Amino acid sequence: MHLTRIVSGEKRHFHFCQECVDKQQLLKNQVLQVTHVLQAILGPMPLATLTCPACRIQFMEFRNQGRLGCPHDYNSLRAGLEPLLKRLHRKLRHFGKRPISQRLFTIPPERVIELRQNLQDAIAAEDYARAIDLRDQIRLMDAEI
Amino acid sequence: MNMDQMAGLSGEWLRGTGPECDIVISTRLRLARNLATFPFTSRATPAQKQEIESLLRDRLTSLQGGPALEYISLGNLANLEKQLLLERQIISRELAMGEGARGVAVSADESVSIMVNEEDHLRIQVMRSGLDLDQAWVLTNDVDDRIEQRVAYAFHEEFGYLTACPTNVGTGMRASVMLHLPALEFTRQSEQVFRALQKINLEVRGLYGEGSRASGHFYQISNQVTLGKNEETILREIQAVIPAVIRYEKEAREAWKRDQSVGLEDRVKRALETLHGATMMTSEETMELLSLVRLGLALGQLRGLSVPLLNELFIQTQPAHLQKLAGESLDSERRNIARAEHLRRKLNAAEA
Ligand SMILES: [Zn+2]
Ligand SMILES: [Zn+2]
Repeated sequence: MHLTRIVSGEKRHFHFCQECVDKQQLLKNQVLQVTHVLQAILGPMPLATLTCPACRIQFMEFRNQGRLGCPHDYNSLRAGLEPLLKRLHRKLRHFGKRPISQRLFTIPPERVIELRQNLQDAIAAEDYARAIDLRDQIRLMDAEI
Repeated sequence: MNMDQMAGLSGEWLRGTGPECDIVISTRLRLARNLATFPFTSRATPAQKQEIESLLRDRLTSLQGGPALEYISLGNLANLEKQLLLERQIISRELAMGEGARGVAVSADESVSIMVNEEDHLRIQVMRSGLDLDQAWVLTNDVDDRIEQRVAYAFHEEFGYLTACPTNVGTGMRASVMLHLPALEFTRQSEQVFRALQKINLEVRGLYGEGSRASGHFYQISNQVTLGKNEETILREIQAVIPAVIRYEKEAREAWKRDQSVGLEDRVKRALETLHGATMMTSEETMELLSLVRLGLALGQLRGLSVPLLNELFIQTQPAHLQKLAGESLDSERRNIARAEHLRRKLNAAEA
């Protein structure tokens, strides 16, 4: 697997060999995990470049409109959100009620959101075969969640 | 739900019989909740919003136990009816003004309402008459539990219930108490009291929420912090300050009555006379005058009127209610005439 990324004007090349990828179970959730790995390698990204892989909102979009794009943003835009949460609430850890039925998500919910966005793309591109395939995948996952 | 009938009736929470009901109008609890597998409302496509609405509509109208909920879809509702729901505080301004698939599931007595596709996928709201945070929480918590059995909420181990706006994350809970504080305002002490509340992170707003100026001396006190404190703590913190605010208001009323009893009595009487005798009446003036009459009633200066009647008049003299009661749409001048007529008729009937 090869990844190229422009970091502050400088082109960097990353290579992950299959073995390492498997070892870290990267493939389980490709897009999301790669983003996380990149963030780990590159260190904290400038806030402006933070993007949610599930709903694709960028941190700056959130700053401008004041609304987040999806629940996963609390992970994907975390670096930008934490200072804000601290200012608003002074604390960063939830106390209180939690859902009674502990749902064990075998599929990460953000994966379903990502597929929903892909479905929108497929419809926009009039790729109906892909759209039907995505719709069926979403239905299966949704039923499981 | 028949909205023509609705206009002529008062919601349960306006019956004016709760604890401290001469000063505390109502208690409201609201929980923000979202589905785990959809983008938040503002980022959802029209098709996704429809999917969310039909899923939640199905779940909310088939919950086990608790009050039956009827779903009202706002997507194709007339403006007048949206306005009616807004005036009754069944929905928020944001939902009324919003677009696309959205709606509200409401109980027959209007004490439970659950907005769908507002800023969050779900806004669960419970209203109680008077000061009643404990009972409001029992009800809200129960409704939330029963919904949670039917849908997967977006919940995070560290951040709690995830919301579209970070101001609500954690418990997702906003508790507000609506108070009538005319004496504090007339004696110019309200600013001081509100500043003290803001220092301890409580928010004070006018009657119709965000950004609105207090009309008729009605104020909402609510919590700002939702993360890092549990629901009981948040409720206890509000519960702790309300008696003090009530005491200040009572003291201001007593002092006022003692020092300028004739002047006050005169103002209350004139307010009532205007309400009886006017041919045209704006909504703002009505609020102001009913507020004075409410004060006079609490101070024992009036006979024949009651808090529930005044609560009813506050609601029924608002634009959408007047038009529903008249059975036709009215421009603002004709509304002012209809408002004056409505007040006269109701007050005469009560005093007869
Ligand atoms: Zn390697
Ligand atoms: Zn997102």
